[in-house]
Amino acid sequence: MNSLERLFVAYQLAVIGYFAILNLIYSVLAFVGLRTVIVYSRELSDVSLKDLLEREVFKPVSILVPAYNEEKSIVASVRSFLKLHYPRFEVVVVSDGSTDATLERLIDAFALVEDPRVWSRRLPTEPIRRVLRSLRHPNLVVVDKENGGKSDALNAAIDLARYPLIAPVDADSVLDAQAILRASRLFVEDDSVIAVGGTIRPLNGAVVEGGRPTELRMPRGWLERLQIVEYARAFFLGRAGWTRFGTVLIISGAFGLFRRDAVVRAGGFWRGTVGEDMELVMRLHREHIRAGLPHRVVFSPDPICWTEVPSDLGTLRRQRNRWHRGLWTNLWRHRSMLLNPRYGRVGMVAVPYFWLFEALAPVIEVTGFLVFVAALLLGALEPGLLWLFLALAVLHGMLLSQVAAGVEAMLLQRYPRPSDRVRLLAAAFLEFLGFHQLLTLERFVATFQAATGRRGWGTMRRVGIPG
Amino acid sequence: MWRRFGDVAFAAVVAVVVTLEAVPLAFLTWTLLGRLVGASGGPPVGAVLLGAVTSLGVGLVMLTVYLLAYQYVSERRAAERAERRRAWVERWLRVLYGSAPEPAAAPGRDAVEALLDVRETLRGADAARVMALLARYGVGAELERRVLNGGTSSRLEALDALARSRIPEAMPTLIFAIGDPERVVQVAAVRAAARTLAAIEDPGERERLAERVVRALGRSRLPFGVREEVLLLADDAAPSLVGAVLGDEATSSSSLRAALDAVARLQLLVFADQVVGCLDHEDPEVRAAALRAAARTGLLPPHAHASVLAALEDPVEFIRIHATAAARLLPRERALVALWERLGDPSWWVRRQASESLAALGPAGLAELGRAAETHPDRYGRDMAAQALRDHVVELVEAVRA
Repeated sequence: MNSLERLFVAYQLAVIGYFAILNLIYSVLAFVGLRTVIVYSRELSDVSLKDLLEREVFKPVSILVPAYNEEKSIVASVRSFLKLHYPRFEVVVVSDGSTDATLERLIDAFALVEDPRVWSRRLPTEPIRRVLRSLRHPNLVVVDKENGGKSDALNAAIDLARYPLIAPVDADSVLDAQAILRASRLFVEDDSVIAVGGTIRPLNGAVVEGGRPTELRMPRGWLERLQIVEYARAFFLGRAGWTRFGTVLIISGAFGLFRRDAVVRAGGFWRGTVGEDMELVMRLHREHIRAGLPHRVVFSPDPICWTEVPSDLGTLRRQRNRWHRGLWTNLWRHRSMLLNPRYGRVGMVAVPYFWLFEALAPVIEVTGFLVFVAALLLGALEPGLLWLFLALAVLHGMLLSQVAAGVEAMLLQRYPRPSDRVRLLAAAFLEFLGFHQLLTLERFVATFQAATGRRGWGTMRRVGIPG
Repeated sequence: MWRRFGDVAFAAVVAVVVTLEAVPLAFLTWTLLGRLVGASGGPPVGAVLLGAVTSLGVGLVMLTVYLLAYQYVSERRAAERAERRRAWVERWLRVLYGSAPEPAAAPGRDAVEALLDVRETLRGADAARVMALLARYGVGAELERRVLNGGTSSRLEALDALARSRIPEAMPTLIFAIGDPERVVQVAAVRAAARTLAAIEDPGERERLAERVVRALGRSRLPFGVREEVLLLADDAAPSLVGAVLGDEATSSSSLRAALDAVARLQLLVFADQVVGCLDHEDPEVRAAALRAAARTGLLPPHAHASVLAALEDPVEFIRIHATAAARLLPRERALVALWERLGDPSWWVRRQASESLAALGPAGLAELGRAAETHPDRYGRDMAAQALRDHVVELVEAVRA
């Protein structure tokens, strides 16, 4: 074996080693995630939930809705929030300097009037122009403030919030009627829980009536169908698995529940990132561990939030680019946690995993592919081997997507039409035949943009929530 | 939200498929390592790779076939089960109200589920007849056997069924399960125990079992929220449980807080003395719970006034908040002075509570708020008083509109 061949075999081995470790991690997460779902499905029956609701054991919740130019979705979203089954809650909507008709839509739909109130200014924000309350819904507050970004809007909402639990949600999202109930019971069952994340499912294609998805249907576009599989894999396998180890690092910005005092003590949402959801969770872990405070950040599979996923490639690429830049910013900000035994499993397992298998994954995948091609051109690799390697990687991805689609099938509210079920399974096959690679390329680009300090969200095109 | 069907089988299929993937992958890694260190022999890399791809492909096909079959079977099975349960509910109702004979043989799972559904909706003599049916078919004994010997998911299902059936004979098993090593099982057991305790009518038996539940709770490491939930779920048995907690000298702070909150929520005025006794407890959380209980029940005897006045100056913010809520129970003049001072508290939440307590004092409190909005020396106190007055007007308007 000459030195070039030896180098190439070593590289092959490194890639396969990476692949094998990733495979092992995913397999463990898949099993543990499945177990989480199996236990969870038996843990809280409808009878128990009814009992809890009647006894009002739950802590009241403030639902925080930052909105920037959300005129298409905002009214339907707020209506869905106001219809939640929960004993005591308020909805705090913050129009973050919207330049469209977001505020006007809210004023018309909910009969808002100005409310010269005083509030606790624990977290500094851009100036608040006015606070409005609804003549129809006593538990709705709307804040009109100058633009400061999503984190700033959330901090303003936290300042206005009255209740001990806060639930930041996206303005283009719809919550299941029992979502808050199911998530908040975890705070009752464990004093050390400081944050709970739920499952996010794509709303595209669903029939929405009265602010609730009444029937699921596969969206027409394959781009949206592929994202349904992606979301199922991320939540039912990834986060459901991580929660068993006490190492959840991300609670989706679309829906999460936090203890208000913990968030305020940590300083609220940080404005320096476009991935404010993950950054807050990492900071909560860090601050609590440093202070020696017992804490748990958990994921619960069935408080479900529905969200509109991008239906065009441009928006999807911008979204994934932003997510990946946010990931890098957050990991870099909290780099002292990496392989630091002081942070326990979070520092020794979860953070290294995110560095190696999430942040660096696109770099390894893209360079790995290029090296394979180079080796092929230099004659150091037989073409048959290259195809077999690619087939192995693609089949592995398909396998994980099929497992996720299987967990999704266990949900009561699944796609009821047989043709949709077949399409979902087909999407699980197709995801790794181009879609995944395209997004990997976008994340590869985002890695370098993060290094050069690029910020901003980019324009997000929305269709809007019906109803 | 989830189908409790086919999940364990799915986990088994996933285990087989992952093994089909992992073994060839491990072999491939081994082969490449051998090549790297120059070892000769062994199968060629291409053959190993082909084996891995084939094996993974077979696994994927297996999984896809299972999922397609599952979609079809689960849909049909769910519909059939719902129909069988509905039919059984109708039959049980006919049995209970005399127009149909009791089934001779032990009924199946759907029949038991239907009977538990019926049990959930009935009270008094009707419920007793359902209990007799459950006993006749040995449902309780079977559920207890599953609680003691089943896996986690089986235990959870059995505990949920016991919570719905409320079979008093199952109490020892439920109390035993409170000590289960798994937290989720502990929570399910204690919920079932509380529901069952609520169904026991004999006061002596109820007291005895309540003490046993409290002892089991004391040994467990369940959090405050679950303890509080148990006391509230116990309905008529709540005073027995609360009495057992408050009467136990070795009770934990967590149980004590839960009991005090139950006193407040259920308005158990009979425990007023014990509440006052906790106003000077060393644990600030317990002191806060006692202040909360006093404020909610409206009971603050004169000998407790000094404790509330001291709590108003407590360095811990949440103690001051609850003390400010309880301060409205002080004699009127004293309350007005104390709440005026709290309007100048450094904490926003204390100022807010002070304004709410003043508003709750009626015309005298509202007059004081009006004066505070104009002349309170603290700027934030003035703002808060003005806010409270505006809120009060809004509440009045809403009450009139309602």
